[in-house]
Amino acid sequence: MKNKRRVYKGISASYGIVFGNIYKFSGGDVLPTRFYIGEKRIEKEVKFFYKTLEKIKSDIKSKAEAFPAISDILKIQLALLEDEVLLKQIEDLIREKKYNAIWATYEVIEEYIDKLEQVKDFYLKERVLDLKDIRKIIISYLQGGLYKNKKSKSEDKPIIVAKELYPSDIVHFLLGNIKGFILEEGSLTSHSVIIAKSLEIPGIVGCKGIYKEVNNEDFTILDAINGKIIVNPNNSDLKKYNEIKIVYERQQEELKSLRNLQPITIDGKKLTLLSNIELPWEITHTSSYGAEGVGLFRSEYIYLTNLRENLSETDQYEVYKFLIESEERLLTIRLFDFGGDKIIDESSTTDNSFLGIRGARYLIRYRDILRSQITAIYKAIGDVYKYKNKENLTIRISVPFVTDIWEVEEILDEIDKVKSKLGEQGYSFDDKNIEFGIMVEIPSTAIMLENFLKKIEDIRFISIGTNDLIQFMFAIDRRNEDVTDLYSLYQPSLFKTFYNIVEVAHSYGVKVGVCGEIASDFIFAILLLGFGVDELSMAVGSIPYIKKIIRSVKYEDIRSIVSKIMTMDNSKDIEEFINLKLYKYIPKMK
Amino acid sequence: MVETKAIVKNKVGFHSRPATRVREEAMKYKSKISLIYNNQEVNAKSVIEMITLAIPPGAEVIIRAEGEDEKEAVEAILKLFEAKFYEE
Repeated sequence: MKNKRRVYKGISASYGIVFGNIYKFSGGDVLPTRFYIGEKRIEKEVKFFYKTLEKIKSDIKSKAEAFPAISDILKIQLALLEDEVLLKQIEDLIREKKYNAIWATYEVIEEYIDKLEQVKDFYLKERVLDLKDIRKIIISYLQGGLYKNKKSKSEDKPIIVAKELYPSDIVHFLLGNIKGFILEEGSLTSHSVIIAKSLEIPGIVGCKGIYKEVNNEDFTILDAINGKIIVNPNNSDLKKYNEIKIVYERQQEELKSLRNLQPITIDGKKLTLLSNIELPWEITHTSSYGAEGVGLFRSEYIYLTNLRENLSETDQYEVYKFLIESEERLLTIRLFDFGGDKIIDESSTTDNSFLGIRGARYLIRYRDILRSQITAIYKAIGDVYKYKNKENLTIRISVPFVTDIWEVEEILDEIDKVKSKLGEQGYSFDDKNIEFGIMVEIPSTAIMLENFLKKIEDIRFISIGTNDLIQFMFAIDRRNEDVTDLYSLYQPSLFKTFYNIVEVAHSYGVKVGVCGEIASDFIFAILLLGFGVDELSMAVGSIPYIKKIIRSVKYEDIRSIVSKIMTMDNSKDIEEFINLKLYKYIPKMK
Repeated sequence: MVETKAIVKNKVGFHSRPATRVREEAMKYKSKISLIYNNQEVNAKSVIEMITLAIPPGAEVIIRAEGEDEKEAVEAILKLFEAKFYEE
């Protein structure tokens, strides 16, 4: 029945509450229906087909302008949309077989896909994705797609219901066009969700069975705070949610009002809050959350999110150039951290890839990749500084997963070679704007930090990667649920490590940042401040909350809490003590 | 009619982006331009035709043009092949 009230539960992936009409979005590939059109309809159908293509092209063009980092992919799609052979074949099929435009498109492209699927070369075979993508785009638009909604006011944007969303779905249909999303599949860390979060689009994932049961245009309440969806709500639902929404939005306003305030404790201790980003265009949202720059750009995501091409130096260059142009304060580019749970080459996986060829090890083994990345970064820096005044921007290059001093030396050596080679081509670099640093995430590096800093003067900052550091210190496999719950994070060994790292780094005038998940944990953020950490880097959404907490504490008090913790030797006691002392600072939200 | 041999020199072969670049160039000319690989001849103004040829790295293709600006067209496309399509 069409207007039946239904309630669903899921996991809130990107916070917010919105009301809107459902639009069912077929993420993944399409499966259209075939029908025959009458003789009279033929001309109209052909005209409709070409008119729709024009619409797609103009949408893509404006997208390419708004998101230069993906303009290359969009260029390929534009070329396909203007492909005379392809278009002629589709038109012929509409005329000769009297197929509807949707089916004609489907069938013509299917033939090309079939042909490509016979190909043995893995890489070229992957081009099937480009064809499936463009077919989906054309068919979705022909089906009425979302473009109808593009003209209407922002209030009329739909809430998307889909089985799963791919990054290309977001790029082509959803960016700027939707109010919220509900997915049957999807995890909190999937890319689509990360993009949605950074664009502040509320959404719920893991909502099984909803796609089949709801209809387009069903009015729906999406409560992505409590993970609740009410389709065709009754009057009392609406009344209740109108009130909840007002309260929630007031809280949000309050947090946003913090945007321009400094993250300073009551007694004047300043902490720097930075953003972690994975996709280049996320950089355009960071300052609206009050981030003072990018503390971590996970550069490997250029590869991981780009199914299409084996990225060349030129492609990387475009990304770095875009980032440098977009940032005015601080931009930290972490060199590729392949391996672990981020795999590009299936053949290289072993039983425990977290302990394999990762980060610095990978970069040193695959020298070509390291060289092309450094070259692309330095070229981008050189070029942007030629025509833009970026006096206040500091660009940082950080090396992931460092175990031994010689690894850092080798990478620095490579940087020197690249710089002198670029120097011959007329590039010049101002070292005052570029800082080099390392990730401290392997216990050996944490223990030997003083030797690193003494030996290698070029290290100007360090970032503690807590996710890996914790996993290695406590011998916990992050993916093994049996052990992850075994220990609390309040381990004296961890605190001792933080303490030592900060002491050593500061004695060498080196800044310390933390960019693991715990930087955005309310309690840990306070503790890290107490340990003397200079910078916390996190997903942008957490910044306002952390800022609020920092502004409510006294550095002196936290310092004495930390001193006390340093005298304790049992994690259970520490946990109890921390709860007693720090819980009052945690704002009541959610 | 003018034709010449060319080698696909970029690392990953003649995929979507090189095809897009070749088309972009080909569209500047009035001549009919085609690529021939494995005895199959396709329109160089069509990306979809070119990518379904699936030309692997190192392969040899023939660039052929016919029309008033055939010579310039073949030269321009050959230049793209030589420059590895500006990929590397």
